[in-house]
Order: sequence, then C-alpha cells, then structure tokens
Amino acid sequence: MFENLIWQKDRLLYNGLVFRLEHYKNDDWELGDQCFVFYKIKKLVDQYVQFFANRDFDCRRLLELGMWEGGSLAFWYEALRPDTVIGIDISDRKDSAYFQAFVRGHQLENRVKTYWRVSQADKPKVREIVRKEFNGPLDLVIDDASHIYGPTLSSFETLFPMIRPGGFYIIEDWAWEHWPACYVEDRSRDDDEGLSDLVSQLVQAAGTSDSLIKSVTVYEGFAAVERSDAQAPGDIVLTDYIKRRPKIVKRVDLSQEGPIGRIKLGIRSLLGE
Amino acid sequence: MSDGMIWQGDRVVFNDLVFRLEHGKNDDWELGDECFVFYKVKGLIDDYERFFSSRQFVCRRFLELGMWEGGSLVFWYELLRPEKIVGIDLRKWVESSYFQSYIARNNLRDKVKSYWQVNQADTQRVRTIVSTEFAGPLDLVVDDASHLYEPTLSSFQTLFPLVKPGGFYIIEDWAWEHWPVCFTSDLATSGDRGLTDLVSEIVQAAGTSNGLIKSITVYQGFTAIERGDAPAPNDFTLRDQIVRFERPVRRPKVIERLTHAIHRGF
Repeated sequence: MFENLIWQKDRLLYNGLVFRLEHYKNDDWELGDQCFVFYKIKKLVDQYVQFFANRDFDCRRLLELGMWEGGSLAFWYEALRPDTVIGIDISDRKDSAYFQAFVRGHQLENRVKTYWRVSQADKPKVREIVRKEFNGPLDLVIDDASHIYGPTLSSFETLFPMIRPGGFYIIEDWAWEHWPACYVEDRSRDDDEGLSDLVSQLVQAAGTSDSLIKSVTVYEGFAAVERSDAQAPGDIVLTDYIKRRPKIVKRVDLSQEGPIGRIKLGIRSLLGE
Repeated sequence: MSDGMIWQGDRVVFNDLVFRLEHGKNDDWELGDECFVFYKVKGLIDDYERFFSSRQFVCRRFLELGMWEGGSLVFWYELLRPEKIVGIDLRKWVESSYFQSYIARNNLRDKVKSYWQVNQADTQRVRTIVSTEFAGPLDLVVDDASHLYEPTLSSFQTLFPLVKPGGFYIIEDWAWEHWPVCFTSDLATSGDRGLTDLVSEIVQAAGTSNGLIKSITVYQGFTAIERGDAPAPNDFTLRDQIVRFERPVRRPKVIERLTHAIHRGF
C-alpha cells in the first residue's frame, strides 16, 4: 500500500514522482518546479502506514479537503489507488504544471480532479460536488483544510453520513493546539478555536453509542473516525449524538473539617442559626 | 481469534468452557455453578475482535485489573494465549470452583494467577506484583476495575511505563457516563468522576507528542492506548505529557461596556 517510499533529506520519491518536503526546504534544489509541493513529513506518513497496515482497507472513492497545489492528491492516489479522488480547496491557486503533467501522463483526467475556490464549510457546494463526482458512498475523506473548529465541524457533519460503513473520516494535524511551534509563531490564530475539543466530542459520541461512529483512532498527526454500520440520516448535528451524565456537584457536609466547612459554619453562627 | 465462540441467549461457550452472561441472566439455568460469571456482552467482544484483527499483536505478558471471580482471566487466556496472565481484584478471595478446576485440569497454576484484596490505586503493591510475576515488560494491561477517575489514573500512571513499545493499555467500559442505564445508578449519582475526562486527557497527551503514547483507539466499550517507543520518566504523570495553547480570555462585550460605563461614571 505504501511500498517504495524513498525518503531523502529534502524530498520524497514515490513511484517516479518527486515530492518536495516544505519542512526541509533548502537552496540546493536542482529540479525547479518539477516537483509537488508537499507538507507531510515522514513521521506523519509513518503513522498512516501503521494505521492502514493489516487493515485490508479498500479505498475506491476518496475526497480530500485542502490539497495545496494538488500534490497530496497525487500522493493519496499512489498510496491507495482509488477509482476516483477529488480534491477541494478554498484558495484560488490552480493545478501546478507538474500536477497537470502527472494527470495527463497517467491519463487520470476522469479519476483525479480538483475544485478550487470552494470553502469546506460551504455545505451545499460540497454536497453537490460529492453527488456529481461519486457514484456511491465515500470510502475515505481526508480533511487537511482549515484546521479550525467551525469549518471542520461543518464538513464533518455534511460528509460523515456519506461514508460507507467501515469507511474513515480523517482529520489531519488536529493537534496543533498542542504543538508550541504552531501557536507560538502564528498569533493570528488566537481567536480561532482548534480541533482538540472537536476530537474530544467525537470520542464522546463514540462512547455514547456505536450507531454513528464505530471507533476513533488518534495519532499525533491525525485522527481517524470509523463509520459504523447503521444507516445515517442526511445531515447530522454532532452534539445530538452525545449524551452525558449531568454534572454532579458534591454537597459539602457542614460538619466537615476544612476551610469550606468552617466558613459555612461561621456564616451560620453569624446568622444565629 | 474468537473462532469457536458460540453465543447463546444466556451464555457463550468458548473452547468447551461455559461463560454465563450476567446481562442475559434468566431462571432457565440448568448448570448450577458449573460456569464462569461473565460481564462482557457480544458487542464488546466483537469490537475486541475488530481491534485485534487489524493488527499483528503477540501477547506474552498480560495483567488484568478487576476480574470478578476469575472468569475474565480465563476468557483472555483462551483468547490470546499469553505466556502468563495475572489478575488483581479489590475483593476478597472468590475464586469459583469452576475456576479452580479449570486451573487444576489444565495445569495452569503458574500461568494464570490471581491476587485478591489489592486496590488498583495501591501503587507500591501493584508495582511489586508486576515485578514479582513478570520477567519483562508487559504486552497488555486491561483495566476493568473501579471505572472511577482517580484510581484508574493511578493505575495508568503506575503501569503504562511498564508496557513495552507497541503494547496496549486498555480501559474497559470507559464511557459509562454516556450510558443512561449507568448514570441513573447509585455509582453515577455518587458524584465520583467517571473516565471521559481521563480519555480526553490521554487523547491530548497523544496529540502533544507520540513519544510515550503512539496512538489511542476508542470504541464504545473500551479504549486502547498504544505505548510509544520513548522511555518513560521515573515519575510519569499524565498531566506532564500534555501541552496546550491557552487562548487569551476575551472579556464578553457586555462586561466591557459595563466597565466602560462605570469608568465614565454612568
């Protein structure tokens, strides 16, 4: 599935394709634009390799949210060999020349497609694209788009019901709130809620019932939500799938030792009780 | 893995052993005490099957916290065939005769062991048992004991460092706070903290770094935490493994306006 990945210091070579590792960019680059721009590092890909190993996962229909210049579409196409892989991105970039050559060279015009200038939170548009491009339920969705709570939840609520039982919804880099390198450099994200709470909610939904979510598997680099066997309604509201015991506040025993008990006793005696 | 497990209304028969399903208990029972008392349901076992079949896992050293009368020790022994399985339980010695005859018949006295009246939160005692009984790091820990936050965290902090890289620490029935049938019971109204917050914290630790916690997989019936490759610090605490960006607290607009008004003297 992920055979023949060749990692070098500034690039990943995979089935004759060159992925330039943006995290290890240097000035010794000799290939100009003859490469995919690639934001995944070996540690992340290793986690994917471990996740998919022994799983016997058949991926025919793959949707990716957030694809930079198309490089990650090519990566997933090579890794999972789906029948169809569609990418959506909010930016007004377009397919890079290297990407276009890849699609033409492999005659993938009908199998690998990109949609630019589409927000992951645009529910009608996202739904329309899925209905148009796929002739059945999705096997895999990979969200590598905004990494912000609101739009990520919106995509999940729209797309998770469109996944087949046993299929996965993957949220990449969900844990950036836990990585100092992310939140120290970019204070502009101060107002944006990250995805840690969303993953906690997904875990609680999985604990409440297995009617929607069969399992949640969390790695540092991504979280994978497995679709259960039950029929899903159209759109869902995640919080509808979470039930939790109401918070119970322990009543303080007035006779107890300790500061609170003493304060309460003090108040009582002041009131003449 | 679970080949040969035969589920019937009130029992599961597995390798010719009878496990009486406490959740499917009825009055038509004809076998008296000739059975293990068993609290797991089919949905839970199916999820375990799903979990273990999607990975190559060899279990040699197995520790279980909370084992009722020994039935779940036998269940796990039959399922994973570890070299050794040790159980710990808070209760007084209650090995059933069915359990004792199983051990004697199969000559398992050194391979399947039980310790009674041991609290999962008794760090010293738990650590002593592990070092006495096991010759190397643990492959699997299953915590089916208190289901309360403090003692469960205590066991996790004591035992997770003793699990080998690639091994698993499993917490069973972590989600009872989400099950109406549980949260109306005595346990749930006692005010004791359940395990949902603990699982959230472990998720956050996994997100902070994959050194100690490589992954965590959550099913409705259990959660499995995979040990990473990094050596654990001597005084391992979960809290130390979590780093999280604290968003600056924004004062709500109403309060800002009110403050402003006060400053202006209304």
